[in-house]
Amino acid sequence: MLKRSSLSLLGISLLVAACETPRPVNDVPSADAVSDTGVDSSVQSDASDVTQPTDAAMESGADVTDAASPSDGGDVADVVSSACMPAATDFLPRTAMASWMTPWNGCMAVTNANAYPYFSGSASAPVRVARLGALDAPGGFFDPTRDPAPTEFVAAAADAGANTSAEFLFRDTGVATRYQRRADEHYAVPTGLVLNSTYQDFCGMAANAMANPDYCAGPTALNGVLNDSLAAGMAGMGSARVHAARIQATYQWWLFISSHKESLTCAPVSADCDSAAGYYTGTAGRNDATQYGLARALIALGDAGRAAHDRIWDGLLAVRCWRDMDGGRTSDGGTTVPATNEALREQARMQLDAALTRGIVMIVQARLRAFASTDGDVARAAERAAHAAWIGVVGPLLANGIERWSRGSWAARRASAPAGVVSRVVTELRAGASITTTQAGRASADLEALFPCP
Amino acid sequence: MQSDNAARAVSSTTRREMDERVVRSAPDALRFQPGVAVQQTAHGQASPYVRGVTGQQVLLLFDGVRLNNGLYRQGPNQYFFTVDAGSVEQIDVERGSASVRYGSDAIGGVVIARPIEPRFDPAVRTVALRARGFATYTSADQSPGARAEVEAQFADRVAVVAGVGYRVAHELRGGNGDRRLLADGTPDPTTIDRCRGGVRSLRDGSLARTPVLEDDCATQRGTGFRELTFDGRIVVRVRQKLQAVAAIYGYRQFDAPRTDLCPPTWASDRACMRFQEQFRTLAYGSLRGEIGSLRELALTVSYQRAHERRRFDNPTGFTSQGWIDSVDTLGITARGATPRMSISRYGAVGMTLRYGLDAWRDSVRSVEWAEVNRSGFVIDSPRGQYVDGSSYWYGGAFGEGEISLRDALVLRAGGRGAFAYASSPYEPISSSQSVSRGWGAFVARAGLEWRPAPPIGVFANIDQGFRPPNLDDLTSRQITGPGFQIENPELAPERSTTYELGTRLRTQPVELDAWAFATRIDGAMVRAPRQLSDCAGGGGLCAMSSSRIALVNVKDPAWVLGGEAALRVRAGTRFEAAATVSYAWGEATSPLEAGAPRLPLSRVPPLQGTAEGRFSVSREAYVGAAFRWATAQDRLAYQDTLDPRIPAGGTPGYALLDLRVGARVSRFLRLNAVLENVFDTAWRVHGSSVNGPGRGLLVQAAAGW
Repeated sequence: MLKRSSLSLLGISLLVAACETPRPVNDVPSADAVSDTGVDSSVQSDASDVTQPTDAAMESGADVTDAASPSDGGDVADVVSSACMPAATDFLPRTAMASWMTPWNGCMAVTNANAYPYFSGSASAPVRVARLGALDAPGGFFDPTRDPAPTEFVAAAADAGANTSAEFLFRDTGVATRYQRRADEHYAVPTGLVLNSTYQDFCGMAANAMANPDYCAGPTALNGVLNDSLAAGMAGMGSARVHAARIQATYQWWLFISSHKESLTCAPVSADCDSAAGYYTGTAGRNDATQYGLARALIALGDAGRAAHDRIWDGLLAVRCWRDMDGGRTSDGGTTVPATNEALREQARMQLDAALTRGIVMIVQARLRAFASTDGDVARAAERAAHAAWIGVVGPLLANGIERWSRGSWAARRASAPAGVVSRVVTELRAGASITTTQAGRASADLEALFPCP
Repeated sequence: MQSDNAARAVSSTTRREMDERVVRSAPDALRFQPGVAVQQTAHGQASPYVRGVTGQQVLLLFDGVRLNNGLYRQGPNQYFFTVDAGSVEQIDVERGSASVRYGSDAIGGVVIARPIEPRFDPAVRTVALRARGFATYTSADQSPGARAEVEAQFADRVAVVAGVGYRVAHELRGGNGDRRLLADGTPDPTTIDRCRGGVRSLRDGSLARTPVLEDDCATQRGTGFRELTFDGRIVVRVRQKLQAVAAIYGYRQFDAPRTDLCPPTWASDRACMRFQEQFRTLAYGSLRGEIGSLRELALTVSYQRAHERRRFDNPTGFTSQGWIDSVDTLGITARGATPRMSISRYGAVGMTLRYGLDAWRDSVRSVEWAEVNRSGFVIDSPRGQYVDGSSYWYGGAFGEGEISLRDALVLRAGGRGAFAYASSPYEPISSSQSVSRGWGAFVARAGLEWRPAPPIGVFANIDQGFRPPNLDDLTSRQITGPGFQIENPELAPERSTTYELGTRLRTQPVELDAWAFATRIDGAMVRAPRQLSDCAGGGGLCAMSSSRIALVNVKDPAWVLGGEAALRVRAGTRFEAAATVSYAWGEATSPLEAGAPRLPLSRVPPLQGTAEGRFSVSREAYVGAAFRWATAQDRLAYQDTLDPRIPAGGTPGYALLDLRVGARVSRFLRLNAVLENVFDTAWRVHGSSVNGPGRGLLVQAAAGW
């Protein structure tokens, strides 16, 4: 009897095992189901200080108008970009004497100040950013004056080849997975982490990310917001433009720290210098009519933005020159010869970092202005909520940086800041999505004092 | 029993050797073969390199039936792992190009698995039943396994053997799990490199990027799996020398992570690519033996289904992805030979002819989808890794002649006409081009064997190989070790020619084989960089990956040069020792547009060797030891520099010692045990994602009635 049962069981298990599992069929998700999707709470560290979306920001703009009431008053001044003076050692490719300046006179790669010469023909970062340009084009997904449709968040099955949805672009350009391991190299490198071939895997490890929430900004501060906002937008919950603004905030901050990070990891792999340029400007040259990513956002700010854009370009070419002179002239796309001239590397990176930081600060200031400009305008309440949501993501990140960035010249810059400005602007920015118009105005002015044009 | 292509460089692993080594898998059984390196991208996957090449460029045969199909991948693939080592009597490896005899894909060599045959006991007049089986346990992966087998004989006409096996492998512990600890046992705070040991970069000493090691610095994440096997074989004696065979062999592997993607280096460490189902079923019927003057007859009709269901879980991302790829292969082969025919007056000159034809058809089903995490919402992709409904036809006919002069000089020559036709439908949303291409080729072989004395043979062979691009080359979009591979429908076939010189000594105390070879590969397919903009139709994981590549035919010939030697020595009836040494060197035109003129071929194994000794303590017991070694490999192809399986700068060398012991403890029970990797060395075969097992015990208890 036992033997027969065993044989039957064996037969059944064989049959079951032999059966192949079919592909899953689609169940239309309920709003409840989708609402569970979102921030990976175990990775999203409490210590990251990223303001979670307030109820006001998640709902209609009217609530936000209430939160930032007209009684707060105050104007936000336009950025003034006078007195922009480069450092004496900066690489200045737009000047005729650039190629003669020490220590840049060995640079053979940069022959055109308006074009970035790639190390690798297969550089992917520029193409990623250019493709994501579909989102931040005027009237596009990130436009705060319109509500993207749920299908713009996630491609329906029939749209899988259309390449226009946010989810599709974030996933299929590979940007989403790079959120999951991106480090903010302005923070002190965790003890013992050295710049070798495993360096960039560090923040992909959940345990490392949780232990170093500032440094591992991608997984702790950006990834969850991206997923949460995509899921909410897909489900049609709350204000679509608020979700889009939060996605845009993560994206722009990610571009900022990515460009900076790649300029560091360019030391072991010179093709990463291409990524530093790509994450700033996509595939565009300095003066191209169509720009992408942070470059697009800066140029939209007029002359001041254009000046910041040019300084970032100078910095990118400085990094390119350093690597050209430091082992980068290889025939294999620059993947095998590590750089060794740390002094020149740091000089180039500091030039780029100062310019990039100035650029992201100008983008923050612009958002603060946009937020303030909607004060009391009921017709623009939804737009105001979107601006608040954007500030809710980037504001605390920038506040953390102002307070705790430590690499390069950041500690010295903090020490030399006018008395009280640092603590005040940190408080203002940490108000996040609940910021008031008054706070926005003060924050913009304080940022100008802290981050004069490089 | 050995390969019937004895004029070539051939070596074998027998059932007894597999038992005494307590092998974990069929590829594991090849580790002591000369000219073979067993690469592992996962603990549940392995791919034999033969003379420096692998994957599509090595033909796998099971009982004469091709396992290779039109979806075999460039580079290492896992499919020889789907051969159950427990169902195999012997595995032969024939090294060097051999498409005349075996058909397409035999560029680097042929691996031939020969299944266990049911015995015909002449003493049995009515019915006899026998049962046997074994249980194994391997400590490095805490893996228990077992196989049960029954055999029946009905008079002298029918014999049957059937078996079923099951194994669970947990995460594999590699060697040298030393952690960096301070004197008080706490972690060293000055470094995040918490491990002192492990396999490390030749360039900067950093720990290899894959696999992820758990806190003990030895256990490798993404290495456990389960497998179920079943097989049945019935042999009917139609005549004295003619048998009809019907057989089925099944392999079911579940939840096997791909270690280098579990996690991938380009995403969170919670992400994992897993083969949820890796199934293969082979069934065939065959008529074998002699009919009149028709010798070595083999008429076979076969059906094989290979099925993969994969899932890329990315819990910290927004979506996870899934794929199902299945290929059904129908095949027919017919082979035969003449008896030795005398073509001179006194029989001094004899001639034998061999001939055959074969034809195969693959039908492909392939889907891909994305699932929004935690919501269950499914987004269908317009195509899978392949375009659903693709098909692939291939086959050919061959003839070979052998003329022997007084058994001292043998001349061999032959040729094959081969064809292949690939068809893949147009898929507009994903911008997948329609493919409808065919290829024909003629390949030839010639050889000279000189026997100056009966135990000595000297060989000179030229043999050609042919490999038309298959559906994987032409149409696949997939994650590979070096990056995401984009299809190239314009590929041309690879053709190879092996030139080899060898000598063989066969005496009772000493057996020696030594071969030197040069294989020229024309139109060799290598991986070249591609840009993100080449990810047609958006490309799913194409853009997520760190890099993108495509196969291209290099313009100039690629070369693989090398040699192997194998020595076996017997002293009396009690002591036996064997040693092998192998080397391969490969180079091809650089696929980089602005690259160096020539670069190494990808993942060619370094100089490596083995040594084994076995002493019979008594008729029923033995002790033994085995030594394996390899030098570092720092000759890297372009794609190798992108591949996280290869530590930066190359793979370090290693030396391993195993100790073996075995005994028959009763009439029904035999025990074999191996203490593997005695010094707990951290090691990996070049190109592997997985470090080899650390120090551990392998035990096999075999029983039979």
